[in-house]
Amino acid sequence: MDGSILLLGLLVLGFAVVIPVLAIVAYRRTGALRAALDEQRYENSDRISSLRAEVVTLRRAVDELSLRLNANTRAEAGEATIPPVAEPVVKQATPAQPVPVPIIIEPAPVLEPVLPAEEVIPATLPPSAMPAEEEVAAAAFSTEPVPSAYVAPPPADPVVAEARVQAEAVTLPASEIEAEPAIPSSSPAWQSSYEAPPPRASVFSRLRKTLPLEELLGMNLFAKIGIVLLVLGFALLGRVALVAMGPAGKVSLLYAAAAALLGGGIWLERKERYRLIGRTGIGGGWALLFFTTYAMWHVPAMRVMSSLTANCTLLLVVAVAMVAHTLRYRSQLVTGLAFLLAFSTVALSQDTVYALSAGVILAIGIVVICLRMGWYELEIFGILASFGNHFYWLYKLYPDGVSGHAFPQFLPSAIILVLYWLTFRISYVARGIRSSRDERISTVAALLNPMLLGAVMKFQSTRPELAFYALLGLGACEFFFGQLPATRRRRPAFVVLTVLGTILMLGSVPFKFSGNNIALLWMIGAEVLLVAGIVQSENLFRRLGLLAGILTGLLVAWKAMPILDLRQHSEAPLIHDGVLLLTCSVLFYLNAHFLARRWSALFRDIDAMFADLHSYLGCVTVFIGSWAIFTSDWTAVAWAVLMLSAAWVSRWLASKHLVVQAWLLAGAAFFRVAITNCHWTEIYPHHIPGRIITLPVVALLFYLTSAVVGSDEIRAQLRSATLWAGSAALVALAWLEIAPEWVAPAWMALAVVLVLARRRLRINELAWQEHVLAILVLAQLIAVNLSASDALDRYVPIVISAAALYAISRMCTPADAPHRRIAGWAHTWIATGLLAALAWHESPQPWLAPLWIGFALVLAAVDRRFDIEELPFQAHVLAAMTVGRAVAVNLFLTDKWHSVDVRLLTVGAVVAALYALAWLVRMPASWRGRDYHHAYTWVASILCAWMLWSELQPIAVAVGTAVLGLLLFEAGMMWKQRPLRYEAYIALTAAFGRIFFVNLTATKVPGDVISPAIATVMPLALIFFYVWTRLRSADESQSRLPIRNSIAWFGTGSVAALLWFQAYPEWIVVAFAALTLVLMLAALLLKQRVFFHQALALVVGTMARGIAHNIYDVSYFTPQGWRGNFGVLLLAVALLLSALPIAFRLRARFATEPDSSMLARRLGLNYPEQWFFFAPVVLLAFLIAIRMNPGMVTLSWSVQAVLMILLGLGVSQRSYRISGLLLLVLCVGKIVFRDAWHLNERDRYITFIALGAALTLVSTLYNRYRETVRRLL
Amino acid sequence: MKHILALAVILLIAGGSLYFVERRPRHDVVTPNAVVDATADWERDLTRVPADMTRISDNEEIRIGNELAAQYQSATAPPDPESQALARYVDQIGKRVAAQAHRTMPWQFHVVADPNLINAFALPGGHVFIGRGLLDQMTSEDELAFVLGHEIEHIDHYHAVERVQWEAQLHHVDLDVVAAIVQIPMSIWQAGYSKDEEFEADREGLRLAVAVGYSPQGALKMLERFKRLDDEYVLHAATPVDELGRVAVEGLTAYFRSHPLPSERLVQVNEIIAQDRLPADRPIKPFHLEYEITRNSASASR
Repeated sequence: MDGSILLLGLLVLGFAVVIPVLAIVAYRRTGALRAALDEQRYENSDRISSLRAEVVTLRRAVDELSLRLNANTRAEAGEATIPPVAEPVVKQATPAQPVPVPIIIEPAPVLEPVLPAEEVIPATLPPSAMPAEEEVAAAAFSTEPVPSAYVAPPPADPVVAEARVQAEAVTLPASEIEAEPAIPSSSPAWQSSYEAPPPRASVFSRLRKTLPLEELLGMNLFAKIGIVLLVLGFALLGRVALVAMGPAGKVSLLYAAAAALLGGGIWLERKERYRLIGRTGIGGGWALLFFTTYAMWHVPAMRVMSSLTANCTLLLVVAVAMVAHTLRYRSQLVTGLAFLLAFSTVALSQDTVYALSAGVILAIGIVVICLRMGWYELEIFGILASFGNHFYWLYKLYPDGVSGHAFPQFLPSAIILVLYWLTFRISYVARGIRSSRDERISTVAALLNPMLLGAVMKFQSTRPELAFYALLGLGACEFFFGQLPATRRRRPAFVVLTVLGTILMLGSVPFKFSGNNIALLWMIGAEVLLVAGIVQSENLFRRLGLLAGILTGLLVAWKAMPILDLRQHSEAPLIHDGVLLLTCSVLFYLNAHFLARRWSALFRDIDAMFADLHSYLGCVTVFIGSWAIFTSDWTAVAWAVLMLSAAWVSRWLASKHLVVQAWLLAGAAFFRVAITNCHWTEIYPHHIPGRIITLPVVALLFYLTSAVVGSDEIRAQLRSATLWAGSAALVALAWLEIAPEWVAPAWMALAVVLVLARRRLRINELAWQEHVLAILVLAQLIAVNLSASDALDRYVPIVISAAALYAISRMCTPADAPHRRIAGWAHTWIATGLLAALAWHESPQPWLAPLWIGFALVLAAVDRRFDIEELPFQAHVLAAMTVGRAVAVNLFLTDKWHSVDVRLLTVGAVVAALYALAWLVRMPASWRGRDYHHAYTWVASILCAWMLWSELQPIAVAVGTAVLGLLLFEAGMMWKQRPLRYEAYIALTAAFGRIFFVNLTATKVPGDVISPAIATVMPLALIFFYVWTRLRSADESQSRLPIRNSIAWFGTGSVAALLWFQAYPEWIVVAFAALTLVLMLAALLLKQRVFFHQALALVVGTMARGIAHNIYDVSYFTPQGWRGNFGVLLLAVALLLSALPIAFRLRARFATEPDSSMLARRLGLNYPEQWFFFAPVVLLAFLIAIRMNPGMVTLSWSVQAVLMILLGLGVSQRSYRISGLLLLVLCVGKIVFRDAWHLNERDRYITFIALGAALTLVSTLYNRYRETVRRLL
Repeated sequence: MKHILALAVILLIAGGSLYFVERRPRHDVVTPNAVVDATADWERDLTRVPADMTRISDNEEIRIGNELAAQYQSATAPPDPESQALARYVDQIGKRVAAQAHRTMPWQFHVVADPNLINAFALPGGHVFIGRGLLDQMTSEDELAFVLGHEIEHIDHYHAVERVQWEAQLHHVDLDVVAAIVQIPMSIWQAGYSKDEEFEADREGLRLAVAVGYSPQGALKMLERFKRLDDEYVLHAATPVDELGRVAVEGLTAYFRSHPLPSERLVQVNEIIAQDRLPADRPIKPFHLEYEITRNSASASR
């Protein structure tokens, strides 16, 4: 036992000690493994980065090879033949496979040899790197074998190629490294079914690939920035700090620092991992070295040399050494950084203009490097740095610019600037361009050079008058450089320099000349260039000439602007300016329409466009020129003449631009006519001679233009517009010169003339003008004639115009015009509208509605005679307006006419006319088939009812409406018009509803022999039952059951409502019960189920009313007459039960003709005896329960139960008996649970005895008639 | 042919009817009263059944009435000395009339010093409020006695407490919680009761007033004044559409304010006077001198 415990304890102890130890060991080993894994991961990342860099190197090499191959191919011009694409690839790609291809894919036959290489590349390259297809495609252009996918082919020029590769390998952003060419989806190799598609990269990873910010900053930019700051710091150290140290010490110190930077850079550059930092250090070291050398003479605090020449020589040596050394690395970064820092240090310490000579040296150095290495980007930097340095020096001298003040360094400064320009210009002219990219960069440099020169020269300008010569000279030089044979071999350089030279020369002119001389000189230059371009067939000269001409034209137009301003307030003729402008226009038109047509082969594309611009400039100048010469009313005439000329010449020369100019001139002429010739500001009447003459002349010119312009597609619109303009001029003339009241007839006459002219000349536009004139006539008549003071001015123009419109309505359009029908309709609509408006304006207020509806009747009658299709619609509209008018005005009239209500007369006339229109107005057969013409009867009936409402006392409205409904009903029955009957039903329904709002609550007044409620509601009930009877006897087509039943419900409802409001509230149950009995009799005798339904509803109402009102709703303290009285309720019960025999007879009838609807089955409507038994029984039971002495309730119920059972036995109704039995059971329960404990002694024993008797009796009866009961069960 | 004859007879009857009503001097008013009265009548009948079955005790009614009255009094401005004098006078008359009521309640009568309140209303538990505007319309103590008797009978005949029960059921108000009781708005008491209840209150209130010695002429004068006021507000529609809209609006408002027309109430009072042979020739008592002085001074100050 003890041993076991000891063993157990040892085990526990062992676990307690060993397990933590094991855990610690495992943890440490896990940590070590994790560290190893991390290290491995970092190493893998580095390798992947290296692989990517190598891939980029390979891609650059391939690009270079392709470029060289293309260049060689162009140079040898057909001597070299490009080998077949597939063969070399197959031969070279196959030995490059590091491993055998395990799977052979069956590709398309042409690309079959390529596939093994495609298969290998994904297995040997990093997953995200080299696009195999690009490499293969590049190899396909190569005449040399491709040794391996990893090894770049040796470039033909190793210096250039390696330099490019080295430079771009460092500066290339990672996004370019990652970029892959698009793989054609049709490539069979890529679509191998054995390869899954590459997984889709996540958004984060794609973002990380496209924006490697961390890598960019940490590995690239920060190193560069650091070195830059270091160098600048040293420079400042030497210049301003270390005051205690002498110049030699400072120079030594800086040299030491430069040496340290340079040495360290060289040492680090050899290590692949630190190559970037090393190269940056090399650039910084050289820059510091150059600065220190420069400072040995130029910086006073560090001056250790006494000779500027020696210093410059030394600087030159340093620069050469710097260039030589940096070129060794063939890194644009290193070289660029060295020069950047060199320029920066010079900028920091330049004190005299001669210090800028170091900048010249640096510029020359850069140019040499650019020409040698093809680093043309570096030249841009050089241009910016050179001119920027110089500007900085000037700025320090004169922060706000020299501003015309002479300064002693002007000449050396200007010489240095010109040297800069010349250095870089020679570089531009002398260089050899290898690619279009180099050309683009060179172009930027070529443009920057004169721009910066001009800007700095402007800043240091002391004599502005020399600007003309400077610009002219510079332009001439640029133009000269552009014409050199070396330049003309490079088309872009030729273009750039020629354009620059031309611009500078043209731009120099305003610095010496002004006004028209500028335009003259520019025009001369432009014509010279244009002629030279035509003679030499040189596009550039020709286009420059055309552009110069355009510029000149714009200048001329700009200079002519004061003429436009002058014309705002003066009409004095300007003959001199006008002639000059017209001369210019002649030149422009000659350029555009003579030269361009004579040498049409040279004027294509953009040349043609420039020539067209010359044409438009000619138009502008002739426009302004004619305005300068011809003034006042004649300006429009002159422009109209020009428009006519342009239109005519355009047709002759087939020039669309002249058409456009004709358009513009037409618009100007029209606008001028509207603004000036019409003399709006003059007050009528005046008869201005100028207007009277010029407006018809202009109209004639517009019409002539429309005649000569032609009718092809491009000119048709101008033709139409000038036609419109001519007519508009005549319209305006009529409006301005004729009295306002007679303008509309004049226009109407012109419209008729246009219609006749259209028919004669077959010019369809005239029809449209006639349409517009008709609208204007309408507007004028409404605006002026309707409100004219003289009756003659109101009636005659409107009637004449309406007659003319009716007359030309059928010939106002061509016979084949698609809008012929619409136009004809519009004319008659306008005519009818005018006459209606005249009626509205002239007729007395109450009689307008009858007048309009009479007009509608006339239109309908005319249509029936002459078959004019739109007249019925006009009749409809007039009728609608009449109705609106009647509703808005006539129904509210209170005037009398010979003691008769005007309202009654006018509305009555309208109603009669509406009923007549329903019969008279013509409608499509389909409309009549759908009873659309009954809209008139509906409206007439509504108006009639409204009139009744207005004319009668409120209590009589229901009767009047019912009479109207009765008459409509009879009319509908007689003419078999269903809508009339529907109107009757609506009227009857309204009459029925009306009684609940006035008739039933009407009270008697002294003198009334009969209650007004009875006097008005009973005739209504008679009408309802009469209509119901007529419907019952009518055939099925005229009698619909729901309507018939509804009318019956209205009749009974009227009577029931009358009973409700006329009887004392307590006696309503009796009245309802009596009515129920009558209805049951009616249902039995007339064999109409609807009366049974009504009786049933009344039974339910009687029961509910009896319980709720007569039994429950009585006073708590005082007797309330007959309310709650047994007599009233028992009478109601008796009346209901007296209907029971009828109910049994109805049940027998319903047994053979049952109502099979779901509602009838649910409510038991086929068993009327149940309703007529249980309703009074329930009522009686409640009466007993509530109103009976509590002690007698059980007794009374038992009696009732016995009677129920007896009745059930008598009529053989099981439900009656069972209900009686249940009531007895209830009595027993009541006795047991309540009466036995709460009743007083007397009531208790009476109840017990009575109930016992009742039970005995019932038992006896059941035993007595046991067989019978069994048979009935 | 028979139907033509029948049609002629009917048209003759209808024409006679039109002639009869057109020659009447009275211009009957178009109102929705018929529909509204019938609806209100049915509503009262149907609500009376459950109210009777779930009647609350008198003590409970008094507690609820006290809380409602306290809420109403706190919502109105405190009475000035003149109103207090008026209140004492009204309380004296009211308690004299209420002594004849069937139920024994702690009757309290309050005057609302609002000249625009031409109304009186009763709360459960014996609280009667009468507006200063209504008092200004009266010219005798008999009229005041009739109005107070009317409101007393609303309480006496359980109208007020049934309204509380109904509101509690309708809005799920727990009558045992004070905060819940005060959620019942005062407007429902001012809106009046159903037509039947108003008739009952008129009838029994008149009998109460007459029983303590007031003249039934007070009731007649009061109701005639109401009728004149009512007639002043009768407007006639200009179009059938206007009339329909007015009837619809009046129908809605009349449903919630279902006082019978003053003319109908006047007819009933006349019938009761004749039926019960009430002393119609009993002299009318003028207002108490103190009240007259107070009222005149108040009018002068306004």
